[in-house]
Amino acid sequence: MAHVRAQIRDAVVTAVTGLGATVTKSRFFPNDASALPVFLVYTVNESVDVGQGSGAATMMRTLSVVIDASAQAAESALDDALDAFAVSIETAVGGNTFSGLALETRLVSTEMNTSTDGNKPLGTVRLMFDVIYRTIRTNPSTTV
Amino acid sequence: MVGSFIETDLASIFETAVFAVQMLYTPSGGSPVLVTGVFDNEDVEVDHGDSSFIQRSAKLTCPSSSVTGIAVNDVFQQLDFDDEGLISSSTTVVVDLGFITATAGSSEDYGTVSDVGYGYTVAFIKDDGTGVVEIYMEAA
Repeated sequence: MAHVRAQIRDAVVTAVTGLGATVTKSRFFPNDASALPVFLVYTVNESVDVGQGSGAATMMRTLSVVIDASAQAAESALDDALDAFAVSIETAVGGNTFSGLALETRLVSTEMNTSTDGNKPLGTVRLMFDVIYRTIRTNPSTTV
Repeated sequence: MVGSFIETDLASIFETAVFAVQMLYTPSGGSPVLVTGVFDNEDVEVDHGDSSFIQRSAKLTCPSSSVTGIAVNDVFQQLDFDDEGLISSSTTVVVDLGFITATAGSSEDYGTVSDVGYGYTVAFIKDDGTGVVEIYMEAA
């Protein structure tokens, strides 16, 4: 069975699918701007708090999940387009426990990035969520 | 105001027989005119932190004198040379798109400009101060 981190990543992809953009878990190769809008879902880091005393067998994990929502729009409409995606994503992901995989999911930061290097203004709103989940120390594939 | 020798050089640089092309330029509230320049429409990589994008970047480089008064949101349109053909002679250049006929060096009749080709609006302009302007375009 896959690591819970991978299961959460897949669950986030499912949660944001159907919100008006192509969803992919990859961020490694450049994306074709003609295929925008796109949501890139990936995880960047995870902190672990090892349980003490009777809970020593468990690990409380806080996973940082990033969703980059990118779109092209006219200069005057780009920020609004990105914020519209932010509304959809925050609604779908914030507070979601992904069928019991997570104990809690909360938005921790939002970052806007825009550019006019190409022939259409292009922007990305980066939403970072903390997804808190717990596993047994010897089994990272199952939540408890 | 640039020296006449520079104007002469620019005429060579923007020769349509080499790299330059003609585009239909329509100033806001004005009439369409043909502008000759070097049109670049290359892919560029746009970096947005962990992610990046390949995107077209359209730019026309042309003599400043051919677009005096140019402003943001003016319109440029590509001419479809492949389908309609460009006929040139020593004295005239004729672009015939069926519904538009433009003849340099003689009277011009553009007819109704409704659909010339892929359109752009001017996003921003960089004038190098020596008679050449770079016009960065936003795809329509």
